[in-house]
Amino acid sequence: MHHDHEPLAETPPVELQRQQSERLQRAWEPAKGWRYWSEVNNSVVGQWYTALTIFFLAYGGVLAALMRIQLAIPNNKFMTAETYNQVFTVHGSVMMFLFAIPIFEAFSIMFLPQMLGARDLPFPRLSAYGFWAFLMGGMTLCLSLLFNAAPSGGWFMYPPLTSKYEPGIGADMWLLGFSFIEVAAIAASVELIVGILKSRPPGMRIHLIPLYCWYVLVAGAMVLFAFPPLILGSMLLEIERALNWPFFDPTRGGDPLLWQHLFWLFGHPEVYIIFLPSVALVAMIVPTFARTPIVGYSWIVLSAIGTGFLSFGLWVHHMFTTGLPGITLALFSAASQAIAIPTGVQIFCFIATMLVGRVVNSLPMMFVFGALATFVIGGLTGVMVAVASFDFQAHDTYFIVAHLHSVLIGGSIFPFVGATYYFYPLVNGKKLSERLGRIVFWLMFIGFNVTFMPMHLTGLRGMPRRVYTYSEGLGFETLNLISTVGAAILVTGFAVFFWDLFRSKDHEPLSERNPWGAGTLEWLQEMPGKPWGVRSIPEIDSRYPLWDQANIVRDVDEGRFFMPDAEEGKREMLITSIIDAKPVQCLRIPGPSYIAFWAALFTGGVFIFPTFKLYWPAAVCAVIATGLILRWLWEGSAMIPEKDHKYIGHGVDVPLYVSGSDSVGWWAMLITMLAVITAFVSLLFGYLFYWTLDRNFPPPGMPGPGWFWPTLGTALLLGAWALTNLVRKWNSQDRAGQVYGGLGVSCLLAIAGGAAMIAGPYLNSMDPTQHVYAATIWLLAIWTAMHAGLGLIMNAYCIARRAAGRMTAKYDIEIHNVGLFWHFVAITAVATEIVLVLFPILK
Amino acid sequence: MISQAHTDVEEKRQSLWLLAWPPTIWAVHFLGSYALAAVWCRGGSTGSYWLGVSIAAPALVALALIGFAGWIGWKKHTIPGGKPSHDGDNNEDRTRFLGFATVLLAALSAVATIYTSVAALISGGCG
Amino acid sequence: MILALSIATGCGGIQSSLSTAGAEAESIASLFWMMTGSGAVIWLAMMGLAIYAAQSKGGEHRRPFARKLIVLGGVIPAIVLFALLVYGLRVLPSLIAHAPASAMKVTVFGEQWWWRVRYEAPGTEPFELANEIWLPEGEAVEFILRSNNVIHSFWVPSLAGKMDLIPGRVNHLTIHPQRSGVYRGACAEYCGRAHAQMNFYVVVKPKAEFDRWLKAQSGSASLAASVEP
Repeated sequence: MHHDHEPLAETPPVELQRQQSERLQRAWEPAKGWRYWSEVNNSVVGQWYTALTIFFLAYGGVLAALMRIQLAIPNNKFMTAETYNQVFTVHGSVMMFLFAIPIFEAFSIMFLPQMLGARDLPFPRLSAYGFWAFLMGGMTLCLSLLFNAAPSGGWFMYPPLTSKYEPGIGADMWLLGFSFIEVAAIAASVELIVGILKSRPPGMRIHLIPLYCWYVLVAGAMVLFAFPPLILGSMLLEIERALNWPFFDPTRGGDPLLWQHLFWLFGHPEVYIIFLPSVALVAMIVPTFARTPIVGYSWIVLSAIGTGFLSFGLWVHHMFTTGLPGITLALFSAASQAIAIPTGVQIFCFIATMLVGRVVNSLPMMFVFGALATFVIGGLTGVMVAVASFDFQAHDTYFIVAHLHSVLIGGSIFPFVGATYYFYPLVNGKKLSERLGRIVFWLMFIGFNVTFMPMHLTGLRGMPRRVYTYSEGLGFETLNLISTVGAAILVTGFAVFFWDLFRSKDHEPLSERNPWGAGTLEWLQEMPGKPWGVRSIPEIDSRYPLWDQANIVRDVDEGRFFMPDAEEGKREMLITSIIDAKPVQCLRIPGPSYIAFWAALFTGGVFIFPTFKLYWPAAVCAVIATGLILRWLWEGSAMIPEKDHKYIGHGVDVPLYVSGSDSVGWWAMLITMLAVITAFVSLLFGYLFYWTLDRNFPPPGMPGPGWFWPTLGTALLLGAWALTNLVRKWNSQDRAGQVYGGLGVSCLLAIAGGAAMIAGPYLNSMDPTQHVYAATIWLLAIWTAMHAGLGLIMNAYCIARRAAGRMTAKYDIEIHNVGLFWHFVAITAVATEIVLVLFPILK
Repeated sequence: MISQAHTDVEEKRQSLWLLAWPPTIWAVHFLGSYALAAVWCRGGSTGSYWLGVSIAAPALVALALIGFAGWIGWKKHTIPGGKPSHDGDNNEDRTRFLGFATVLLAALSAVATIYTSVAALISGGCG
Repeated sequence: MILALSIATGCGGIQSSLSTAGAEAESIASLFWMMTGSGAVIWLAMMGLAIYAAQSKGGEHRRPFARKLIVLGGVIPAIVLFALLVYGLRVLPSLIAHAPASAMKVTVFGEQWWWRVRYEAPGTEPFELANEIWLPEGEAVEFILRSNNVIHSFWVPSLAGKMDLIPGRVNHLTIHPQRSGVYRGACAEYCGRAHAQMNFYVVVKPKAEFDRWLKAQSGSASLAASVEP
């Protein structure tokens, strides 16, 4: 039987409480002065992230306002076509990549630990790295517009327009800059998934976790499988632009449609990655103001998971007019309609909760209603365009513009603004203005409807998307003018909102603690919050601990629960088991460090220098970035503790160091490699796609890589994989000689294997610019070789750690994680072998 | 308690992966159908009624597998006792929740698989 | 009020999918009105339910009913969506089918930023037009759509849905014009700087008049000037 720990029955001595608070304060105090910018604590990084994201929202909004001014009257001369085309491209790109995704990351970094009664996320420097990467990539893109060097291919950048008809660096900036940001998004996902699964308070079993956590868990997992196809596709398009490899060139075996598949494989799940964390905010707000626990918790979990899976089966509905077979249209129509079921169910759960509860009139609830009204319209028009027959008329018109803004503004913006009013007291202990908030709501709600509702008609009356102007006499004038007036109202609403958000609140009174009377753990926070998050980590007995657990606030504040202290002066958090949240480890996490910033800067160089065709500086940055990341790992991860176990209270001792599948680092490696393997699978999809285009693929008479070199390469890499995993066993048996020998030989095998993979296309004179077959084979070979290269670096790192005494038989996180990495290398090598050698034979 | 001997509620025996089985089965059937359609309709062939059948028939297998996963969930869900909201802080309610969520996902996955098959049967052509 | 104002501007126009002159557009427009009507009813019902729920005094005794509501919220949409799926798919084949083998074929090449239209009727000299298409009333025509530069999309809303012109692929679109008149088409896939100006006109004439025009055109195999309505 599981024993629940009760808080201490007696209040601890006042002097002890004071000393504990002081030690916690010293450990968690944010750095001051210039060192503040080296901070990695989630509260600090979360604020930067949110502020930057809101800046990008404003930037994208200004661009939209400019577009609406241009479209207010026919044949307007406010902007030229070239300018308008850059503006609409950057508007869409900024909103989708620099606002809608980062806002959920930012919110989660800020609030997720508090919802989980945790002091931080498990990889603080990773969050900081993600932020600096986001800042660099985002600002580069935004500044490009000021230099007339912005991309102008539309936010989905279809080739051949973007491969052959966009000279200039705009497209490269999009492809490389956003790939950089997408990598940061994957880093955020790793953080959030591991945080939700493994850093909960004791007793917060999987069926008691806040609904926000379920939604973000699903969204985080979706990022792992949705972003890699785009990263791969962007790589292919950039390689075509820079090196003339013909992935999307039909005259040499390529196909523009492959880009559309890869892009929308990302693009459709992307919109649900945006929607789910936003509706998650609604799921936290509604119970608070309905004064009752959510009704239909399991149904909402169904909604989140069901939507997450189904969303990967919809992508072709963006391609209904490309001439695909009728059966394909039918399959994707079916899935596109099916997803409306789980989407609707959660809305009924919110209604059901309001029915059982007694709703208090409040500003956040007004935004919830606005969100509902707007999102349901978007959902209904979504079902309409899911019907392929109707989409033939609606696709690429202003009807779609109306639909997408309804779901995005209803499903993301209104919840975000409402949640800002709701969660703001947690940021600095004060409230935003209720009066201004109501004005903001009405301006935004009216503005939104006046802008976008007419667009349904505008589109059906024949106005296509992405047109910088239109002619008179077609019936577009009045509708566009109404939309522009609406945009002015909407912009005013945002202006008031931003003013309220950023004005000085020095003279405002502090908010009372838990101002809305909510039931979930983030509202334990004192006003203003203390840097250490929770004073002690509570044992949880219910979904709404603040409502159901008597005296929980007092007990947490007096240190009557777990880890009320920082005896060694270090930042520590509790790692717990996945299903039942039993304590399994006390994890020490790093304090302020500049390394995340420098690593992000040089990683940025790897992506941004090639935009300007400066390849040598990019290579140098790659070397420096690798060095910095190795130093980051060396200095601050897998530290051997001064003692094996630590007492965290209530008779519980937990280890300070855990390796293998119990360790958070292992999970980070697993999750990251799932994303990497998805990118690889996307490349395989490309190969198979080319095969479905042309019965003669691989083209007869064209040189192939042969069977010898790829097979040799695969064998060598499998050898390296097997040996590395043997070394893991030998290391645990402390057979040092075999460890060094094994790792050394595996390094050699990795080098040889990678070289053999490259030898196939190289020695057979395959010219990647000649035909897409050659280009694809080369890319597969290089991809596998790069994995071998990474494995080489990792094995060398293990040799160094062992030699320096930082990895031992007992403290062996490194070799476990590296062994896991090699599993993925093995899979990659075998798949490459099948495609390069077996497939042409079997075909 | 003896009545729980059939359904193990120990933490070690539970898994979040169970929730993922029904939608994964839907996904495999769906992607298989898409791949089959892509290959069948290569090079401008006209397709036929048999294409629809080749999608609908494996759907029966998929539905059986989804049903099986749902049945496992149902057994977990119907451990005697507990409140309908399954929010008690104990092993049984946690298991009931995992079971119920699995049942719901199985129902959704079944509906989605039926949608896929019916769509394929109505539109069997490559046209 | 916004709705009323918008609708007051009307649905008509020579580039409007709601003012139909072709069989395909007609079929899609009917589908649209049916879905819009149902959608409006659903939206009103859901908002009504939400407002009622927010106003209600609540209480634990409502919980069983609330749970039933959630179940219905899953079951009823599943049924309605299924019905819509079947209905929508039944409409689809006629929209994507090829025209009969005997139908006239017109090849359209998407250029940057204009439409090259090529007629190759049997028994006549082939000829090309720019941004102008003539069609006979009451007969199916098969459009063959190609591009050798970027992706475009051929769209005459009053007559039919759209179809993309993709380099490396040959797409087709069947149109059955039903009413004589002049209709305007647009490029519906962003294709570069002057995408907004890539418009064209479709002139539908009674069969006899069209035949006369066709014979006259094939006599002079040169690019004709654009026609103003």
